[in-house]
Amino acid sequence: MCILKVEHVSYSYRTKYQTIEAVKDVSCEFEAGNLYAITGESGSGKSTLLSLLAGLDLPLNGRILVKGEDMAEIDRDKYRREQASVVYQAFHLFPLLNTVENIMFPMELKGIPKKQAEEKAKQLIAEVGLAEQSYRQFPQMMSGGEQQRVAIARAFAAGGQIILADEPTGNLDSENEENIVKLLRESAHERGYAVIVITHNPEVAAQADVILTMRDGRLIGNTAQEVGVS
Amino acid sequence: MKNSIRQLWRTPVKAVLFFLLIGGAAFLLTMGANLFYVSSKTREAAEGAFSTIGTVEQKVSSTSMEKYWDPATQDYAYYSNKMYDAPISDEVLDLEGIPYVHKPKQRPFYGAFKEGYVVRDTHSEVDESWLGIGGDSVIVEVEPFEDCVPDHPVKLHFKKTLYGKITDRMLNRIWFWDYTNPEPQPLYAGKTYIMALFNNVSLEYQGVLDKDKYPDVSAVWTPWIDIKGYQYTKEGIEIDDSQHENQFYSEVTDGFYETAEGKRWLNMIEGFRIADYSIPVIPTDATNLLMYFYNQDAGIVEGRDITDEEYREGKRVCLVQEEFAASNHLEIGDKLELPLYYADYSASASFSYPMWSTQTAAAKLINAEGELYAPFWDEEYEVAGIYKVYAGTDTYTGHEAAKNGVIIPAASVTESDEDNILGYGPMKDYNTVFQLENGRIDAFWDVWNKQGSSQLKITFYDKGYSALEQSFQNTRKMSAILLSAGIGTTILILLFFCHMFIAKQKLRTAVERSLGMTKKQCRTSLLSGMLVTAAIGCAVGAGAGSLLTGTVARSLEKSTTYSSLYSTGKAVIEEIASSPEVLTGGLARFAIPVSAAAAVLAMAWLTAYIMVSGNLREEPMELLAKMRHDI
Repeated sequence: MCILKVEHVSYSYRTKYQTIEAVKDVSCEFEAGNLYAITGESGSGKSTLLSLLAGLDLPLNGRILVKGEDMAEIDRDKYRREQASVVYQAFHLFPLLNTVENIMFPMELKGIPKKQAEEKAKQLIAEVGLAEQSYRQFPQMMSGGEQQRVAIARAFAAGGQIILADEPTGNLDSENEENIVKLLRESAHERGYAVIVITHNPEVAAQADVILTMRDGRLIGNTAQEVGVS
Repeated sequence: MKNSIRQLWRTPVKAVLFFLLIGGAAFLLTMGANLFYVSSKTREAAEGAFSTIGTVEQKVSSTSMEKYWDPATQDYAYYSNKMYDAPISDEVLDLEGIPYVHKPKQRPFYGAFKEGYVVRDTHSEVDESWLGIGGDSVIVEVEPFEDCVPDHPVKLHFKKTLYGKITDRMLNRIWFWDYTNPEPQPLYAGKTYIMALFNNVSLEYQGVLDKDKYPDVSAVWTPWIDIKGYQYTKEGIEIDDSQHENQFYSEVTDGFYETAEGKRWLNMIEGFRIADYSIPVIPTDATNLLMYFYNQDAGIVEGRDITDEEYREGKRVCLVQEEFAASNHLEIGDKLELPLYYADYSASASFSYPMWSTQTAAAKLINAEGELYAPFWDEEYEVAGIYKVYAGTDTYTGHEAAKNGVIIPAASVTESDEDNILGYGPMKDYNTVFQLENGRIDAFWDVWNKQGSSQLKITFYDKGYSALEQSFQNTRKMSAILLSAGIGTTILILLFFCHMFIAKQKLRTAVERSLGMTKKQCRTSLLSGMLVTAAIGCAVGAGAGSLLTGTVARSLEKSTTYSSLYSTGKAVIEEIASSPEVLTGGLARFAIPVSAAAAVLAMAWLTAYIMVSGNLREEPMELLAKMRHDI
């Protein structure tokens, strides 16, 4: 089922010295249950596209449809709260909240009662492969891999259908990289998320169901591939 | 909000520091504002309790030696007499830039008389011969037993009393001695003379009367007063009547009392009768300008003071002395008729109507033409207040209260006294008084030293207000420092901590936004923890400030020294400063601390709001992009 549809989207922004056309006439579709990799060199526009998909801004031209509805017409805060979660390369956990509290955060935003949110958070911690002792740990007390697991658990906690991951393995060693990619694949295939991963790592891209390649803001390749579970 | 508070207090050192500093700022602001309030209230009260008045006196320009005949040595003796230049008008003090409350005016006192005034305590058992001018001063008709020259005591036959009380001492003959006259005129047997005499008992015990030479002589009468009339122009120039100077007696012939000289004698006698039962009326611009009120030697015991408005508008209201009110059955609201016979610009009413005496000074109510002065003003005044004289009656400075004195607004007398000026002299400290704004003596001297007259002596009285002013300034300085420190500290603290808790939390905002938080939720998330902490800090700081204000105010008060001369003023200030209304009253205890806390909180909110708005102005996409580049 197509959850996100990108139609002729262009986006540019001004820096101090110039206007950068980050995304140029990009069209593509994202379905639930698939892991997508958007690759390309630095400055190719992949992160900007991800931000647009997250509803953090609107395209200057073209449109993005969320389950058939134009992103420009919907409440984008609510969209991020309820449908799309973002996982960052730098994890971006709240450093002063512990693991449980970080994961509870999106649930509290949605108004889920504290007790229920806490139980769900603990369940998600287990599901992403973290031990109970991590409950009260603060991000700086954890490894990169563990922090990224917490970030993915926080994305699950939002309860949406879309996970947008920006270089989720960029700060991880190869073992953790493998575990995180596996977790994201499972998210797509077993939990039914549409998982869109920005990466310039070919090994990560190789795990995706579909690879979208960008160069100079344009989508130059859209390759569906059969990937075996490693 | 919980997450906001939780995250703030997960950095306890910063949070505690913020709590303490913001509490300290609220403390300083509360202390500063409270001290400012206390000092303002104290100053306000002091403004009412204190006033700054100045007196003006024309300086003596020279002294002259005056001669008089001394019968003891049978030669002239000399005494020194103070000489003044021409009287200086009070207008020379009307200089621009002097902060007068009441301008200097050389004020006279008036003599009022109406048949029926009871001017003395009628219940006392004082010998009536000692009342009024009378006593040992009389005007009589006498006839010599034989031709004589009164250059020694001569025996005269007493015929008739025209003024004064005759006592047994006089019988039907008197001894007369024109002892101050080196060349007395002869008196002839068979002729009648009218004489103003004084029973000069001092001659005997001073040894002037040689008892060996005159063993039978006792109770010698000497000349008392001449028939010269006194009259001055408004400019202070005396209208000449020197021809009657030193004329102490006249020969009474048939029809004498129809002549100008005879009428002059009769007018003078009537004048004495009026003066005997007259009362002094003191016109002024403010009760406080009268030194006995200023020094609290007198006070209103019934009714009220004359208001500023009544003084300004010249309402016909008056303050009467307690004894006079009692003797004349005057109560508040009663009307008192005041026919004013004369104005005296040369002396204090207390010289002519001393509190300590039952007698009044002889006031010759005849003008230069020998005519009896007629009232120049005759109106009824409503008794607004009754005052009592407590102290200061045993001096002779001119600043004392006068017996039976009636105080009226100077502006109420709208008729000119120019034809009734009995006495005129230079400005004296008791008849030329002005009031300055408190604490402005220096401003006066600044102007006076440039433009004032060197012939005038100015003396200020402020009951120690200048010393108090210093104390007020110290307190105000202290409060200003505390207030400035409080505001400055608050701003610095807020800028510092807002930078720490907000500006440096842009990433947090971006992540919160990416998690679907609205801008409003992000603002609440950043502000609530900080503001709740600030609110508690402010409450604690302001509370402590409120509790300590009293202690600090009292310690500042104790450090102020007062002159013991001004104990009354000190008492007033201490009473005000330590009064529960000021230090523990609602305003100092609650309103000001709450306002100070609210002000700090408002500043915190404003600063934080501006910074949060700065955070939110940046799009999360840009922020996150920056973060990506930073990594």
